[in-house]
Amino acid sequence: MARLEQNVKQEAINFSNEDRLLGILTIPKNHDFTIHPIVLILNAGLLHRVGSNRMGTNLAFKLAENSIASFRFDFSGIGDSRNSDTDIDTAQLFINDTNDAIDYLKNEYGIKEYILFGLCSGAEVAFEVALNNQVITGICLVNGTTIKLKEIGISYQTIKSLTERRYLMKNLLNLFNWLNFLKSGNLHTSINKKSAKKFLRKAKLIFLKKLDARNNEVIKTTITLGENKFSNWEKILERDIHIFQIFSEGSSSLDIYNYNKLDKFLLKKQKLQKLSVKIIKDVDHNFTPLWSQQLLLNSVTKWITNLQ
Amino acid sequence: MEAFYFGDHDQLFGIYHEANHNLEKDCGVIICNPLGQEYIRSYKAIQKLAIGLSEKGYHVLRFDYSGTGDSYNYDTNTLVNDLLSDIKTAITEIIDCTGVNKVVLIGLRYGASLAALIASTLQVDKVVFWNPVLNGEKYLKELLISHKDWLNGSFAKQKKNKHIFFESNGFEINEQLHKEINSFNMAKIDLINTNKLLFVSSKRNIEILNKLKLMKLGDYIETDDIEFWVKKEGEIDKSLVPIQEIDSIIKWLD
Repeated sequence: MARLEQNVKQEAINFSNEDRLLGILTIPKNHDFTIHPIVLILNAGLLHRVGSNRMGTNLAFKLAENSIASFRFDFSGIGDSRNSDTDIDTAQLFINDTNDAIDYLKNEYGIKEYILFGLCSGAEVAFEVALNNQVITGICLVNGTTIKLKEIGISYQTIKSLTERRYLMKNLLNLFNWLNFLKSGNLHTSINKKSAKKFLRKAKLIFLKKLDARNNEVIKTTITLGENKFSNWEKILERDIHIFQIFSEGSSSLDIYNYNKLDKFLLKKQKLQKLSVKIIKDVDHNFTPLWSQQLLLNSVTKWITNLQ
Repeated sequence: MEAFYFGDHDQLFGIYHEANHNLEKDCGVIICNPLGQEYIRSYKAIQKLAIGLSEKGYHVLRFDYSGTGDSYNYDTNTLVNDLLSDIKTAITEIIDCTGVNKVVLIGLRYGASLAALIASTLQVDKVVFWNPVLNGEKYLKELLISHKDWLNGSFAKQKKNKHIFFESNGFEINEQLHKEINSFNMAKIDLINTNKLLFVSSKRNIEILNKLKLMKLGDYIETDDIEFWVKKEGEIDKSLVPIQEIDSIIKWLD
């Protein structure tokens, strides 16, 4: 098997003011930057550019194997990028960093089209940047909320409690779980003592975990719907770019999506040919199981490849 | 700070922290990372340690093993020999680039185990074992428990895959690597080549170190029981940087 470095080249690049930001450019063999779009892989939360479970790097390799270049970089103060001296708020700073990366790649390599990939907070940044930067032709948002909680007048704790409710319902209504419990390693359906104890211990653990989480939060019961919560979505649909929204079942972003009835809003719109939404079952917010990482990377790579 | 690729095929990603000129020492420090999720969780701590040491006049190179971080390749085929070979490449790199005559290894978690294996075959000046994995079998069990704890009560479900031998918290360990890690025992490593050793570990581990008669080989610093490298649900300290541990390592080296 050929070594990856024979077909893919990686370069460490410093850019932005005083070269304070660091990124890794991943380039397929014989690549022509001027005719192909590039994918920008954005930070997920506090994790550095390799991403959750190294999915940022693995995605870069997978894309390169499909002749697509990518640039993964650290926002100000994350990973190996230095913080900015300015007092701009963090969200805006990350948007500026992404625009700086685009300007750098445009000037140095003549790249004309950009696709943004973001997971969690990275998806928020991707959405915000795409609202105003005209060189962006596609965004892939994984577990992104796209609508700010303050805009819909809802607390994160409320959303979290919706996720917990979903979890409990899923497991209580799961026939397989009950069958498993009833079977309990015994050929008969009677419950043996050992498995019953195990089940109760597990149930207690989960219950205590949930209770503890609830004790640490104030659940808002009154929810005020914000006005113009879809204004950014109106704007982005006007831009007519490709959008791929992915949700894992265990992410609270799915509850925000459902709570906002974003699907109903989108269905009323005309220009939906460029929008795809995928919900992946049995997966947590971070895509911990290896099979789910493969599924995510394959789906994203396929979507991006089809855009070319 | 300089980020670059090095090695025979430029396959390894490294970050070099230049020594403070006013305090420059004839000594290079190589940081040996932990593996898997522990590496992701420790990134800021390792970075802070590297910056702190460079300010004290050490040339510092932190790098990613093949198949990890920003280095080339997927992590599926890595073996212990590959990891050791990468550390040796990093040692050569820092000597060639800076001309230092002394090399210090600092290993965190399984990186400490690798540092021990290197120190048993190569002459290094000092080795710091930072929250080291002392027993491979126990370490693998801990990884499995931590993985199950994470999945427990989450939406995520593990699915059987005959191609995946062992997975923990989002990372794979292949069968051969698993076997190699499993057989690791710090007490069986010959560390007499090294001038000075430091164990930085929690009280629980210090007791084990005592039992294994490793304590008499070097100095030790007892730390709090905060496992900053572990992925936990609802963690409030996921960006935790153990400043006291870092400061104590720098102080000991200095």
